[in-house]
This record gives sequence, structure tokens and C-alpha cells, in this order.
Amino acid sequence: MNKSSIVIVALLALVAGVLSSLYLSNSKPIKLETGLWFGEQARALPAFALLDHNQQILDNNRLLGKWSLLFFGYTSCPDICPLTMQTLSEMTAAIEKPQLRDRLQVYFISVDPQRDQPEQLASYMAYFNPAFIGATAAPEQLNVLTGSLGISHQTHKSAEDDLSYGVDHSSAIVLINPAAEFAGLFSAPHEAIAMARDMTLIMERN
Amino acid sequence: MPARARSLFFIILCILPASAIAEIVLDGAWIRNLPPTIPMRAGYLNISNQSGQAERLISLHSPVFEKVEIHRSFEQDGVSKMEMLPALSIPAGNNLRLQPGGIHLMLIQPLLDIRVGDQVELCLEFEHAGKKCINMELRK
Repeated sequence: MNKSSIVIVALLALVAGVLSSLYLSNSKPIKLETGLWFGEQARALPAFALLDHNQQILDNNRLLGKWSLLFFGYTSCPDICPLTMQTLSEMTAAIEKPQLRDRLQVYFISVDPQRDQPEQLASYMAYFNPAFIGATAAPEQLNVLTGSLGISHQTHKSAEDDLSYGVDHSSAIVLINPAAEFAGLFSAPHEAIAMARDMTLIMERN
Repeated sequence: MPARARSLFFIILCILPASAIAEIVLDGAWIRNLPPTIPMRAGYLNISNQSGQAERLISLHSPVFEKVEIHRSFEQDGVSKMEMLPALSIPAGNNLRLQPGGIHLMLIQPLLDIRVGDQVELCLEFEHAGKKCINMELRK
């Protein structure tokens, strides 16, 4: 191959690269298999800081560089939360390419900071999936994150010393992109295989 | 009829009415285990009302838990909620399946160290059929 054809090939490759990135960034939102609308304008999150199950700060910076899925629940929720934890575990296992699996982090954010201290979250993560990260914070800090994501939660205590209270919480799973921006919502009911296919598509396109 | 066949025939005759009056049939009972630091477990089972009249499950008891309640998980406007049900009605000839994400048993405060694989006795009190007990298997 002579010099001028190398230049032409290089130029063509550059043009193709620019065009495809333009196409991806300008592409219209698409509705994925789970019903998630992907490709709408991502939205920055306000500065938040939670404490994870290893007693480390979980803030905006920690979400940089990977895709994140945030599930909001509480450990004293024996029916729905274990079901969702199991679905999320099956979902990560169903992502076939290991290099894509490594680009995804699942978080369990407790909306019950009173009962869910870091040690409690640590045993919960160890039980369901040691690769998942559990975190929570005092209500004011927690609400910075949940409020910005439209995640609602409400505690129902019958008395001040009631320890078997329930907590209503949004059932949606929040998708955060590697720039730590809100990128979409997976609505319940959650289905592991469909979610794994959608996450594969999202991560391969971006 | 040979003696053996005759005695078998009588045994069958004796069993038949017994199964015909088994009006409430319980099966498929299990508990989802959780880490020991969590005081709640959810339990699931199948309640089949094979009698000719409507039944009501009015109370529950297990020697392994401080309290057993009937709860229902449901979703309202994108929010997961749970409510306590005072009793469960099962119409005649109907089958009620308690399963994850819907009506379930809320087993509160284990009194013993329980592990996956253990069998836990649960007794259900019905309005007409009275007390019925079943073993529930602890599963992950």
C-alpha cells in the first residue's frame, strides 16, 4: 500500500468514527425490551454522600467510570426485596460477556437507615451477592439522592418503639451512566433476562 | 374373593371417607431464609379448599417464630407497599396460592437458630376445618 492510500484509509476511518459517534449521540430515544426509554438527555445528579456496607463514602465520584443500577429497598422487607435482589443477581449472571459484566455495578440503597446499619447491609450483601454494594445515609442525605431521582419512600411506624414497621418504596431500578448521570428507569415487575439483554445493548452501544 | 384382596378392599373403604373429609389441603410450604440478623421471614404455601363451603383462615402459629401474620405486597403508582390482612377467605372449591410478590406469611422474630434446609412447623386455624399443621422448608 502506498503512502496516499494509507492517508485515504486513515481519513475514511476518521470520518466513519466521527459519523458513528454523531449518530449515537443524536439518535432518538429507543424503547428497550424492558420498557426502558434509553437515549433521552442524561441528567446530572446533585452532590450526595452515603455510607456503604464497608463504611466507605459512596458519592457521585464513586459512580464514575461504570454503569450503575440502583435498587431502593430495606433489609427487613422479606418478600419483595429478596425477590428483586435475586432478579438482579440472575441479571448480572445472564450478561454473557465478562468485559461487560465488569462495567456494571449494582447498588442496594436502603431507605431504612434506622435498622440498616452498615453491618446489617454487609451481611445482606454477603447473603445475596458479595459483588453488590449496599449503602444508606441519614434521611436528609438520603433524600438528596432519592429526591433527585424521583424515588419515594415512606416509613409506617405504629409507635416510636415499633421495630417491625414497613417502608413503602419505589419499585423502579435506576440506571446511572459512567458519567454518574441519571440515564433511565427500569419499572417493575423486573425480569432478569430482559434486563440483562437491555444492559448488554446499552453497554455495547456506549 | 381371596382373603388378602378382601382385606385390601376393606382398607381402601376405610381410607376413602378419611380423604373425602380432608377439606383443607396444604402443600408446597416454604420460607425464604435471610441473614440471621434480620427478624422477618416471608413464608409461602398453597391452601386448597376442597370442601363445599367457604373457609376463612383466622390465625397462625409456629413454635419457631414469635408471631405469624398474613401480609400482602402490592404495587401502587410505582411504589411497593405492604399491608397486613386480618384473615383470608377461600371460596369453596378454590385454591389460594401464597407466593412471592403477593399474599404471603410474615414470620416475625425467630426463636431458634434456623438454617436453610430446616423444617419449621406452622399451624393454621380455619373457621370450619379447625387446626391444620404443615412443615415449611427453609430455602435460600
